[in-house]
Amino acid sequence: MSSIDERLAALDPAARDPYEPRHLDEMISRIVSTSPASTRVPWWRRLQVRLAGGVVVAGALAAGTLALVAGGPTLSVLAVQSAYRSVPATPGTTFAAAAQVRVNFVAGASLGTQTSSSPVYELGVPGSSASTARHIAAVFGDTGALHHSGSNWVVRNDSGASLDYQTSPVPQWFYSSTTYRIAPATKSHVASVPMPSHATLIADASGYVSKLGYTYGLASPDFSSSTVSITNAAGAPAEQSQEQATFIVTLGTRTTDQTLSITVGSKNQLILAQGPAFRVRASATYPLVSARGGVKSLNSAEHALAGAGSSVPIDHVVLARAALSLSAFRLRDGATWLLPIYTYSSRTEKATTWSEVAVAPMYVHLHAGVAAALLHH
Amino acid sequence: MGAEEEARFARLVHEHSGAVGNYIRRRLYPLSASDLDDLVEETMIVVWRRLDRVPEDAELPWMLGVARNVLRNARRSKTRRGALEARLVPMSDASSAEDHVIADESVRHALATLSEDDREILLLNAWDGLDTHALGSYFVISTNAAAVRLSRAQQRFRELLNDAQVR
Repeated sequence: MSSIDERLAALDPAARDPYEPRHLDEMISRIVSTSPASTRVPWWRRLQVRLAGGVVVAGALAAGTLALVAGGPTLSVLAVQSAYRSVPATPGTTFAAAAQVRVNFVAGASLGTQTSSSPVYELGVPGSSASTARHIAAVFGDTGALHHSGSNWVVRNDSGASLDYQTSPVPQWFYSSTTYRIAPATKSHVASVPMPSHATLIADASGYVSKLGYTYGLASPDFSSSTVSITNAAGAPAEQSQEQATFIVTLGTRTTDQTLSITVGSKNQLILAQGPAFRVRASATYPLVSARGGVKSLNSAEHALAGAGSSVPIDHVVLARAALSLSAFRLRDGATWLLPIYTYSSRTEKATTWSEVAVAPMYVHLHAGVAAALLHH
Repeated sequence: MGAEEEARFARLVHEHSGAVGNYIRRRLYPLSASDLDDLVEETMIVVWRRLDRVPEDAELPWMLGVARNVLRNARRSKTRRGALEARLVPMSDASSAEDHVIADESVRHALATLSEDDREILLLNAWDGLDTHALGSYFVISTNAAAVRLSRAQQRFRELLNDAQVR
């Protein structure tokens, strides 16, 4: 027999027929424009505020209008300039164009109507890229000479170990214990000798993150083994078994589009490693549209890609699942932020997913092309 | 100045309109979608007018308290739209939102036998998800007092449920 709590929960009228908020932005505009607010100065106005980048122009809060706000725990509109994802060169490379149809997305029954909120994060780049590159290199025992080219900094040891530190778009570090004159070739996808355990690799990766001083987390490790053919320092051919672990980088409870990976040999010696090199400079909590509500924005972007009056046939795709994660964007002022996105998938189109910024529309302004960059991948 | 209040109000609406709507739906049944939208908007109008009083750490329970008054006014008012009033199901009568969906007769009987105060705090916790801190804000009592009242309501409900099942 179900517990009492379960029996009560089963009788919840809203569970059978939940309220779905509609036209909230219109309601807000209507209320604000016709009803005076209290003239008392609220206590939270005395708090400091950090403005999101690219916010301009004071004005009424309405769809598509940027608003400058200041003072207290209020929210600025996020002016997104670009997404750090690969962008289809032309609409012809998108899923829809490839299939010679225009897609109409339909929200499946499982997509929720509940709105929520999520932290967004401004990523900070250390003031001295040279010092940062040397610090990261030292963690891996690389104390060689520093070289600089554009946004790329390299510390290279006489032994051949090298550390690359890139400051843009999202700061990244890459370590290699050896600089091969001839790149290794994969011989097989299995190791020819016993390799360190997965638990050892997980501990290794966490240890590096801790030594590097980053506060992001690691989740969902994916492991793979291989045997590669290499040319050793003496110029002779050799084989090396490797074990690689790739992690999803997390902030708080959210996964991000960043990954960290390490590759070790049979003696757990580090061969390769790479990961993000950011620290969180600021964060704020923004309201999100529901997963179901995001489908409307998805359709707007898709229809904009297809063009007005498009005569291609329409294919209806039912979106069954929406995963919420953080993805990197560049704002108008050049700062990099991790913003929440919904990534939708369909039971029928298994090879394709579609993404949409999950922040409530009144708090985000997308530059032309950002939606297209997210739409198909 | 206006932009600050507007931004906070907009956040409150986006974050809590769903919970407010569900609170109203649980207590007035049947109710059309548009009528429910109207009652949610009436609640939000009050929230906007008293924005400076919305406590930072108890926004939702405060707003539900407003919705509670909106519901009472909706039932009492004789100048409401006739179509809406004709469809209202009085909460204090035997017929309630639960009646329309309850198939579990034991639970229905136990809920109906509870006092209105006990039923309200029990369902605010079980259905609206308010913890003791939020219940304290809703009823304007201390958290400890809310915890005691909830515990007693739950105990009485279990006793009534056991009695109903024994018969």
